[in-house]
Amino acid sequence: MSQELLSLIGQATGRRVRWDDVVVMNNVALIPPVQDTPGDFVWNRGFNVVVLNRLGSPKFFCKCRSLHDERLAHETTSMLALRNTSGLEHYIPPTYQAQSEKIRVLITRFLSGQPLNALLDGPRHGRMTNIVGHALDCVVELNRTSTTALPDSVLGCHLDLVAEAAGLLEHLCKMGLPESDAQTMRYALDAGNGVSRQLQHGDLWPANVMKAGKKLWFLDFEMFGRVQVPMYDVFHFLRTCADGWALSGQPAWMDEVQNNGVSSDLLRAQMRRIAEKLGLSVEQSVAVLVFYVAHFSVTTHRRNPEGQVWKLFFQEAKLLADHIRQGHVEQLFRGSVG
Amino acid sequence: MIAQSSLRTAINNWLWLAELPNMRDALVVGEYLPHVKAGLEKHFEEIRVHSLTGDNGLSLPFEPQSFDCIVFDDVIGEGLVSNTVIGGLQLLAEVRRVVRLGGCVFLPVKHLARRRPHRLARPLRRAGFAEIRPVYVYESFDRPDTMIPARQRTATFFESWAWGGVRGKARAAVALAGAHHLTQPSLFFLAYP
Repeated sequence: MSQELLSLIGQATGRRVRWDDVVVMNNVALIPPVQDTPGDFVWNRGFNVVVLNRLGSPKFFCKCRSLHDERLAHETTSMLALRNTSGLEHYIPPTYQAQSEKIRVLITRFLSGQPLNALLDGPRHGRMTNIVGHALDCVVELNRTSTTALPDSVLGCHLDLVAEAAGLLEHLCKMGLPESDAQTMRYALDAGNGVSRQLQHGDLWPANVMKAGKKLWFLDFEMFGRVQVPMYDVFHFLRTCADGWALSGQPAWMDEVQNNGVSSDLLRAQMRRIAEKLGLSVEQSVAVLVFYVAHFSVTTHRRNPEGQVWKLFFQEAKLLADHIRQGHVEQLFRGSVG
Repeated sequence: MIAQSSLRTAINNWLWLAELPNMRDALVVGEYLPHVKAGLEKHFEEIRVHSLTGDNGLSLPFEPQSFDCIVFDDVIGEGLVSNTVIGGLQLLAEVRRVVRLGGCVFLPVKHLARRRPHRLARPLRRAGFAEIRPVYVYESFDRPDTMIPARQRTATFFESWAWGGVRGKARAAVALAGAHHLTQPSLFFLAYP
């Protein structure tokens, strides 16, 4: 059986792999998976493998999942397509795939840099602004180029934000969002209609961006293209950067964005800069922010409704509605806050 | 939170590291735990259990070369390599007899307690196994996040990569010096006749 896994990796990468060349990591569930059990929401059923050379240097990183793992199949297809897209080969590591009757393997070249979350340890101006700004510029290029290069993945050109978010708002109301807040968000979405679709990474947080020298590599494309609302990646990246900076007792992200402070300035400046770069109006910028907050709150709740984490993000949806009513969010993109 | 049941079934992914050209039948020696059952049933056509309690002796009532794979539970595994199972060598010789050529034996050691793998492997060598492959399990058998071949280069890579910083360098230096067993809590052996 080992021969099955090792020869799959070996065939895909063109080298002989022995049993003591591989380290199994993130081993969280059996391949093939056993039946789901209540309270178990592991979605990455399987393990990862790092393949070393004879000197002990890591050469390849492999995601090993059940053959029927739809997420890995999607990620594999996406990464291979993106890697072959002119202009994106600098962001996507060399990628290979292999599969047998039981297992599916996505193989990428091992990147020896550091994930951005290890570098973004505080919102200090200067270096941090440069890193975050550079990362966001790369994200915008990734989103733009992939949307142009992969037209079959784009679900039509026109994006009706109200329709796109209808199910999310309905879900938020079931979670306890007052109808007045939902209505406020609906109005904001409606006012920002006319945005074009753009493929998004979908899970772009600093740990999924690897810095190797001056280059940035993007990883984890399991959710690629599922969201097609512009700036989703930008908001998610900034919010997860801010989560990393926040100390216990820090305000929620929506408050953080509105505050006075170094990190708040950085967040606002980057949001505004990218919105302008994408040619979004103030209303459209507000609308895509509403979509992001609603989508993320609902996703967190759906992932684990029994847990407590979703409550934090649900509060942010309520806060966002408040800020919209008070005109703070528009000011955010007009540049008159802070 | 990941359900404990998932993590416990993950230990069975050692099957992907084992050289097993055929996966027809397996023999479980000892207690047949639910998570072991779940794992083996996904891969083998038939599974038999030999409990060592009651009237069952240390001899195995099977024809020579009857199984593709033999799996010990962690309590017996620990006892066999620690020489605390009376007649342990006899049992290992029996296992060597009933496992097929081309098959494999899985023998877990839940608490390594700073013992060197090659010393723990002595009973397996004495029982006649031709090839023995030790693999560390980090961070524990109940949370088997990582499986690392017990080799200098793999252990050094793991320590450096997993810990990073000064701590990672210190642990990697220990592994590089060949003392990787000092930083690892558990392991399993894959033994081949």
